Amino acid sequence: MSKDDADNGKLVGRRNFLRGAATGAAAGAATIAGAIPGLAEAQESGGKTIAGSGAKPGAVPAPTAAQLARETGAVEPAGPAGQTVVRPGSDLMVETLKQMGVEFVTSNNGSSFEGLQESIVNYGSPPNTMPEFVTCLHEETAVDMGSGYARATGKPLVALLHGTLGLQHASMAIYQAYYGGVPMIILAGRDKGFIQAHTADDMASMIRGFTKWDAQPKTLPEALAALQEAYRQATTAPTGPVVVILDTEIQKEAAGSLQVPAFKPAVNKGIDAATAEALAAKLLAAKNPRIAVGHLRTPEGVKQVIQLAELVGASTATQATAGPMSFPNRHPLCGPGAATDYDFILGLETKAADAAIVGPEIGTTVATRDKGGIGFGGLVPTQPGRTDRPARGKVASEVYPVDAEASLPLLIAAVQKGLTAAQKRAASTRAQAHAPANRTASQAAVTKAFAAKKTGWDNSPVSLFRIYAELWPLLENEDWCLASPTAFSGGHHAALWAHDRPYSYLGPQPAGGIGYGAGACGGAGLAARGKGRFVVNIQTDGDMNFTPGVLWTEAHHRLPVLSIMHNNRAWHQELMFLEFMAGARGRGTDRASIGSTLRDPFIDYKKMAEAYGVAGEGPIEDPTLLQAAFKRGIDAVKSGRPYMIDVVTQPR
Amino acid sequence: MIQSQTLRAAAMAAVFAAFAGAVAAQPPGDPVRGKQLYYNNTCYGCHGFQGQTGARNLVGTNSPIIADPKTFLAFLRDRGSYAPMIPSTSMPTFPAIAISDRQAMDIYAYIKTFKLDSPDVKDIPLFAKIQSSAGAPYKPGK
Ligand code: HEC
Ligand SMILES: Cc1ncc(C[n+]2csc(CCOP(=O)(O)OP(=O)(O)O)c2C)c(N)n1
Ligand SMILES: [Mg+2]
Repeated sequence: MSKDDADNGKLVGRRNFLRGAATGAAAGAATIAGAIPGLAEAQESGGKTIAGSGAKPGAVPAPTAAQLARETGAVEPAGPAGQTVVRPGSDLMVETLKQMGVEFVTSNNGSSFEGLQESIVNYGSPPNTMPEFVTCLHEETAVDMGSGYARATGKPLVALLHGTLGLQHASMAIYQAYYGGVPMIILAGRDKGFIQAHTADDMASMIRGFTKWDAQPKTLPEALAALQEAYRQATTAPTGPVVVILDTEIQKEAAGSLQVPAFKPAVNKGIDAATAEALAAKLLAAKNPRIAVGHLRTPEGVKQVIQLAELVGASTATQATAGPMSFPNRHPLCGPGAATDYDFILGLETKAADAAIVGPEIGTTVATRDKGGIGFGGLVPTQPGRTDRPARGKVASEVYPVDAEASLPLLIAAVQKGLTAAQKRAASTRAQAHAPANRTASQAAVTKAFAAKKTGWDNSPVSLFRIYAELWPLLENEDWCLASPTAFSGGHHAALWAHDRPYSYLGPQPAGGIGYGAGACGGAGLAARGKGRFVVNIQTDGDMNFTPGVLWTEAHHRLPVLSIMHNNRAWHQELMFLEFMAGARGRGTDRASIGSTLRDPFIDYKKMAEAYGVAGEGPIEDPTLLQAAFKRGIDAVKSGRPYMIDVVTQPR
Repeated sequence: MIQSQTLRAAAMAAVFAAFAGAVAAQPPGDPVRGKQLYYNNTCYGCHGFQGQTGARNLVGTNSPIIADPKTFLAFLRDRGSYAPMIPSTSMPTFPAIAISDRQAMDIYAYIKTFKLDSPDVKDIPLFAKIQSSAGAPYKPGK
């Protein structure tokens, strides 16, 4: 307590301002409160709290007179002795974000960061640019958008949340970002002088167990340093969400002549030069080298691994059909290659190799973060889950536990240095042979997919395979990003589509949390906007209904997101579980639809979209209508508008 | 895929064929009632509305389980008992209190109306398009 008092004494904060105002406004407040049903009572007990008498320990203090006055607009702007603050601390915070290249602040507004919000929208030339304030209708959306954006770009944005409330609304999304190792900066405003229920002594502890790092700076210089450190922490392996709690006083205090310190970006640790040379030598000595690529951190890493593979003429394995930042899957080197007798496999962020460079996983932060010993499953060893399968295939015995992407420059340099003319010729010969073999493999995958999945081609409701097939010819010459998780809709893009960009497919819900998809697609929309790119969202209906307000954000911010409903009118995964359960108990499945279907009434997604300002069409049940609808949708998103196509589908 | 499905179905059918001997012969069912039962009992949830999508196709698999009504009924009644024996997915068991013999025959009659009506790949222009796209020269993404 004394610490807080000391802090506040130093700053001319609203807390002190409110204290003064409380007594002065008391008489007026009675009238105001009287006009608002239910507030008079609250005001009274709140007054007692401020006066320091009669409040029961643990009782929730109600708004004070001054707070009420403020809520009803009858209050002067907060500032030292009523003066205008010329250079408020939050302007410097905005400068700090600018300097680090933070493009967006996703947020649902709250008074605990009114200072910072005001700076974002008004400070800088032009204002509200780098970062731009992205209006979200739910904090879960703010964070899910952060995940979609970060997965598409490899960069964090800022999710700005209101105190204890905003953090809790956002918490599942933060949890997923943590599981996914998604870099993100979460800022939460803290206003100790305002509504008590929105503040806490150690707010970050609510989400500490599933974030990588947090800070609660006490001064403005500390706050600026904390923002910079947050960026570094978020983008250093293991990447993940980080938190800075920003006291409202620090946002509002006059910064005087304080300058934003120079930003030193994160340094990710890669292999050392000797290891790079040893690995390069193995790649060069191999007759049939191979590079297995998992998920790197950024598009730059993808560029470099392509360079490495091309230098040595190695065939490559990719995870591009499972998530972002992997090797382009229709690159001539990608696939099984001309022969599968690989004599050396180098793994980059995957252990399916002979030697592997695999950076630290987010789970390594559990020991320092999960102080309460919650023991989140999947991060700490628990029992294998129902759907876990034992690992198959090769597992590297030689593992370097450092960031693969950061290792690439040295590795490439070592290869370039060691490469003899003969090796160069051999690499080129290998590459020549791999290309047609890999092309054949890609085509075989298409043939196999059609053979297995074309049943139901003409079905109504529409088969999911058909949706993916109808889409591809419309996408292949476009710059697109498939941002929705696709497991429930069959993941048919894996065989049918080319995943040739770092952001071609952004991957599943990191912790299996439903509701992620809609928000993540909005965030990918932020990454795509203004770049001639658009987002494809195969949107399940259950997921859509958690935070449908993201549709408004897409309309408002002109995000090019094409949402195609996988409308099976159910939380179908759960329906199947319930059917099996009822069956296993011999009670029949005729009531399994209770609680697991979205019927009676059916939801109209065209109208839902339109209500939020997104053009839409449907429901479509006839597959022959898909092609024209998809064309209209793509035209719309290419003009910079979101679009919704409701397709009633087969369940799976 | 289809091939391995057939093999697995054949293994199961051997089990159920023996069991089917104990099942009484049934009068043929009514596909119209069967359609409603197929929906109400959420069979569509795992087999698709036309038996052509989902966890397991009911057409084009040459499955002996639906080759005759008795094997089908035996399978419906006792699938659960064999679940651990055969790499199991999630087909529930349906005892007579859940689906009567008569209803089962109606469902069977309905299932038998399912046709493998998807066109041949050569008659799906998109197949050729997607094929050629997979073999097209690489266009590096940005
Ligand atoms: C929860 C999912 C689920 C539900 C509901 C379900 N099934 Fe199945 N069914 C399966 C799976 C999975 C298989 C594949 C074999 C196995 O695991 O038993 C299967 C297999 C079958 C087979 C054999 C197919 C073959 O290839 O041999 C028939 C016939 C069948 N189911 C009919 C039905 C009927 C009729 C209903 C409704 C009364 C129904 N199923 C409900 C999941 C389900
Ligand atoms: C936040 C959250 N709540 C509940 C679940 C449990 N759950 C798993 S799958 C699923 C159904 C999802 O429905 P939908 O998004 O429509 O996909 P479908 O299975 O119908 O294809 C649910 C509710 C979850 N994973 N996450
Ligand atoms: Mg659904």
